[in-house]
Amino acid sequence: MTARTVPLPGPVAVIPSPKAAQKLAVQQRRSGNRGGGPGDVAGLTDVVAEIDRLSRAGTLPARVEGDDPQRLVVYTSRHMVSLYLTRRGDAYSLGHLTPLNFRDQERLLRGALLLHCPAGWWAYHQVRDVPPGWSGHWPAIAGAWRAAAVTSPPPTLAPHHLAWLDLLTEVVGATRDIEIERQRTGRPVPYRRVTTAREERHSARGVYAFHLPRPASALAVGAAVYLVDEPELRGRVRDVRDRQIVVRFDTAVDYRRIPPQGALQTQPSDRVYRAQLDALDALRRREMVNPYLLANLVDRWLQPYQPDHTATPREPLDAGQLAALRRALTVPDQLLVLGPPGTGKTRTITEIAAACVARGQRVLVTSHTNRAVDNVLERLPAEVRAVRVGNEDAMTSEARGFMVEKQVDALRAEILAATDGAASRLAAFRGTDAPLARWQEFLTSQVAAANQRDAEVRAHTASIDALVERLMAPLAAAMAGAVATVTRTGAEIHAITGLLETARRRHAAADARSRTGWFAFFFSWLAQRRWRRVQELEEGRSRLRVALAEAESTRAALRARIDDAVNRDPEAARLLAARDGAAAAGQQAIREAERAATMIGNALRAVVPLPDGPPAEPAGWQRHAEALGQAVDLARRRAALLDEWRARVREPGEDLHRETVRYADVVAATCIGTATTPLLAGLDFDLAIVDEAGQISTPNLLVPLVRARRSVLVGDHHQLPPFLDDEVKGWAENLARSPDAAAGRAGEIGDLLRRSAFERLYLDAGDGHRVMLTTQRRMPEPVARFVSEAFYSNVLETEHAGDHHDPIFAQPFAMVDTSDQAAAVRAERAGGSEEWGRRGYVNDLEARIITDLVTGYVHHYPDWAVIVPYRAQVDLVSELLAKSLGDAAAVADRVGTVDSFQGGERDLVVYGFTRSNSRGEVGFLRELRRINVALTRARRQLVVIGDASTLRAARDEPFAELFRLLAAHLAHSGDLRRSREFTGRLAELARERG
Amino acid sequence: MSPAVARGRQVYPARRAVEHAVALDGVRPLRLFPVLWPLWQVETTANVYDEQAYEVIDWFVVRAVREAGFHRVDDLARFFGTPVPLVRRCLAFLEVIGHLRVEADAVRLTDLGHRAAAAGIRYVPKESRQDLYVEQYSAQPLPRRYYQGSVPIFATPEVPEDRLGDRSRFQPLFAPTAFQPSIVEELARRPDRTEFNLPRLLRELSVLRHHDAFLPAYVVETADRGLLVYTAVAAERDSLFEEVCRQVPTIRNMISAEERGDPREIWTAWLAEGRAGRGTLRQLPNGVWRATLRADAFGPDARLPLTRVGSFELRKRHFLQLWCDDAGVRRQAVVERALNMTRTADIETGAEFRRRIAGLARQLEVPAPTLDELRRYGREHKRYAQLARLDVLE
Repeated sequence: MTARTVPLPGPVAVIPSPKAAQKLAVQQRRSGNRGGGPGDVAGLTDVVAEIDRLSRAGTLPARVEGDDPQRLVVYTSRHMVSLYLTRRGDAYSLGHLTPLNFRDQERLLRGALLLHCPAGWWAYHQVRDVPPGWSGHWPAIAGAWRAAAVTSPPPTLAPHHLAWLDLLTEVVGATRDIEIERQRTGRPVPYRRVTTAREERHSARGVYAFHLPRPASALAVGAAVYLVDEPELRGRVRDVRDRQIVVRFDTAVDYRRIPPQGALQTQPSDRVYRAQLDALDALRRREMVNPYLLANLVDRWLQPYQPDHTATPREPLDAGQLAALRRALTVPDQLLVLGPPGTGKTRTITEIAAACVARGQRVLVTSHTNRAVDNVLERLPAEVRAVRVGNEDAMTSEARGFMVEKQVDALRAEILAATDGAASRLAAFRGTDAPLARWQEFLTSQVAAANQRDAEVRAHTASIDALVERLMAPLAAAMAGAVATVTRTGAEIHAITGLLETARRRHAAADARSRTGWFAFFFSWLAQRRWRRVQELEEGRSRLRVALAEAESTRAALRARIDDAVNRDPEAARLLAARDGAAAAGQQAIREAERAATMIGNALRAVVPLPDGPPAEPAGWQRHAEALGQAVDLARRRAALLDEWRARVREPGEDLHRETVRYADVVAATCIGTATTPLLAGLDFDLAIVDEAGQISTPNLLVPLVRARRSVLVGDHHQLPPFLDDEVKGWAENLARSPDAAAGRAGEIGDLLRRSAFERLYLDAGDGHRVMLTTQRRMPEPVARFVSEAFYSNVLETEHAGDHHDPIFAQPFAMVDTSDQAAAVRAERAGGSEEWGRRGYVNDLEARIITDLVTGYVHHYPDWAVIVPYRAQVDLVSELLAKSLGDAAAVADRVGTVDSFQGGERDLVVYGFTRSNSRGEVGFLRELRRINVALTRARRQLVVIGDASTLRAARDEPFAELFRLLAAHLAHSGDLRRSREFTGRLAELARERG
Repeated sequence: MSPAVARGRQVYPARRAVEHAVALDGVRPLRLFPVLWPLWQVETTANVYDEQAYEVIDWFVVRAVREAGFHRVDDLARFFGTPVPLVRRCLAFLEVIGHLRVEADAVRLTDLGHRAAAAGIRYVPKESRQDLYVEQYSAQPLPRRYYQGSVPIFATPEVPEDRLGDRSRFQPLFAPTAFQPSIVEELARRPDRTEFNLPRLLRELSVLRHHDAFLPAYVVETADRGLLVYTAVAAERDSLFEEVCRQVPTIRNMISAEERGDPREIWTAWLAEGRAGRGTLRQLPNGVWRATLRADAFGPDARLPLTRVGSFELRKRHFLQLWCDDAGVRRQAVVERALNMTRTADIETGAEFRRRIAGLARQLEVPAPTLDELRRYGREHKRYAQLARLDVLE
């Protein structure tokens, strides 16, 4: 660990003990150095001096080695020095010192403080000498020591994180090897002919039909294939119809490159594993967007936070859903939402996604299956820009509308339509030959002409002035005298008028007071005197006025003489005419310029901001013309840019795809698709919402999580677990059996494979980081009550209309028990093998009852499903129902194992247990989570069919217990029928309907 | 994780340091201390511009701001006929990479945005993180040679068993200094920073975190109280760390304070254990202790392999040279060791190889073998891998 500096605010006192001095002396003698005699306390002076020096520089290493007595150990360049805090805590007694050795270094590396005491360390002989108020600063030192003991997270990968990544890498590697080997051993499928295919097209990728000599079972829809003779031509099987396989290629394919005869080969693909290994690598390189992801996942370390209690959803949410939304908005790392069946997971996810988008965040919606991804996508509000990436064949038709290609096509159309008007408005600004350019030239020329004329007017005026001056030269002196007289006399009149007004005011004041009062006589005298002054001034002014009139008359006469001289001068006449002509031409040019500016302004008005209107002064026209020129240039640049933009948008190709994804609010992709779609390369997300997380293995989950700052995992570990391949399971079991395997490691691998990360995280998360949705609205109450007790510790609440109208059953939760039939009739029989090489079973009696039930009920519940545990039984029921209902395609969509139904719901669900034997063997049924999924699909009516005698006596105790609980619920609030009685009622029903 | 940890290089054996030290003129090496020298491993972050091609929308948006006088989000969206949120997202992206600012709905290109648009290259600032090593006692950054993969550096003060080249027990050292970010800031300003593994292209360097790291080193104490230091950086002495030793008395003091022990007693006891057969002990003029063993003590079937002739035995920080007076045996030992040397990772050229053989021969006091001799010996003893390597080195 790195040493922590501790500032000490005041000086520190040290009292060297005689014992320490003695020890030092012995040491010094041993090493041949100088030293005082025993008890020479002064010998410690050097030691204290070095402590002082180091501490002033902040480089005095120290450790706290005990609380009672309080012992501080400091290290000089030669010694380890033990200091004991005095009783009063005001000083240290230097009690012990030993030469520094390598072990001290190890101790210091385990933990050290660096004391920094600018006020220094001071030696005293006795404790009582220590100045009052001094301190050993023990609380500060001890506090820093305790704080230093709290280790900060390691900057490099912690060994246990590395071990966890190694473990996952091993699991992924083993799974990959098993899968690749399986793919490699597949044989090529020959074809005889290639034709075009009648397929819906969502992109320009090639789609062709390959005709086979015999039906091929080796290729399934969705399989990645390539042409054996043209291995670069790769695609996916879109459809398999008897002897025809439709392949959608990954790119546009030149038809001529496809050999007319050849073979298709399954492409060994490790893309899934590569994506998983890349995610693990990103974690190793610490390149994940959430820097604490490993601590979140491995140590279950999650940061504290406050939910956003103010957030309100767009649509009403129940308490659990609202809690999930409010936590999801602010959780800094990871939120786990447990959503039992029918509790509105998708609605919650949609709300979270919309709310985060509204906050400007980019959201990734992901899941293990395409269907789960599409479910969320379809319910997002229209204002959210969502993009779906991935394999179009696996998407729902609604989800295809969100595909990048579609979005880009729509965007292209939108852009071209929206810019059409602007493009035509800007058309006038294309090139330089347009009329506008001519108007611009005209404006420029008129402004130039106006300027030219203006200059001429000014020149003529100057010439005229000069001429006039010349002509008036003989009379100049007289004229100057007249002008001076007029000016002077005018000034005198102005002055005397001022005096006159004052005199009048003063006379009026005296006159007013001369009529009454004690001093009336005096004021009367004063008024008369002032009146005289007024009269004198008036007379003076009159004289001046006469003089002014005379002077003006003289001046006018002189001017008339000059004018006459000018009028009679031929040069003057020519100049005047020229000046007037120039002025008129200038005004004409301005008028023309105004016309041109108006024309240009009209063209510009709709496309660029116009400069301020025409100037009042002719001189401002130059600037105005320039401003208009700049506006035209801007319009031209806009026109060129818009043309270029529209041409670029029209270009086919994938140029816009990447940006469409980058600028989307929500990106929806499967976990693996997140990593394998090139369009998403380098894209990070503010939030990843992972749906059906309970079904997602840890390696798969890491793929989206390394790309997101925060994550919300929504799932239910009481439903289907992650898929576990039998061979992989076998590998893990072998590993556990291997004598040199570490038991813990093998156990961890087994756990990683069996349980989802969601399950492990949910169980360990604190309440702040997990929410359980507890109100279900799908199942009728009696069904929900059983499910709640059996799987969810009785916490599920139900909000369900509960209207129940069934032709036969009195309750929405019903069972048809076949144990009333002879053992030979009701018994199972082995039938085919299941997907993972396990043995399958069929039950003829149950298949018949199911067929009759569905056939009889199909009008009452058009939305129905049959769920059975075995594929062999699926085949049998499908065959019988197809015959009975006559619509094989509809039957295929509605009969299956639970895997096809997780996340779905139907009005009527019929579940057939299939197993009936005297040995109490229940096989697959042991996996109770599968039964949970099957029973919780029903919206209105659930009917389970089985042999109660076998099921009740099952050798698998958890199953037997579940069945006994189911029977108890049926007895209490369900409808339990014997199979004979039930088939009788069905027959009656059929008769009633005729 | 340090590169050395990732590559899992072994710590080079103490004997190499001893062999070098004893061959030095005028030096009397006494004891050897394997230590873990404290460094700071400083994680730094810096900006570097990644040159990308513009895509479609971002290119047009930048041009609309730069050339067509648009500065409002709504105007841009209207001009391009795209939804406003799309333009907003694009602007947000360009803002994130530092090309523009959107303030109060007004869009303004930054200098970087202008530069990028003018060049038609989307410069994207990328964060570049790298570790720098700083010697703790002197707070000086380590030059580039310490960053080679062949130099092991550990994150904790211990060497994992599988990384030890021999049985050296490394003692970690503690430096009483606190890390200061200014160390890195000063380094960033130095004109010769590239020599300290800090490329010029990295801008706006800052320290993210630092933690201790440890470099294995051998400190050899000499008779005149001097200290020689060896690290994996070179076969010769490490002058950088020797200088630190001169400046920092603690290391010298600690070594002086270590119990010395009497080498004669140590090696007499070692001989008495009988692992090497009978032998005689003596101290050479340069202070090195030597045990002279019989010729039959070395060889494929003897107690010691032939390669041990002239090599050193280490015990309690002292070392002893194993010797054989038979020059023929010593010559053969040189040839044997020379052949093994061909496979040593740090010998990459013929010149270096010849230099090392010459040193070895000098140490064993015999003439150096020629390459032809080595080849002949290799063929006789079917050492094909070494022969192949010999060809490469030549």
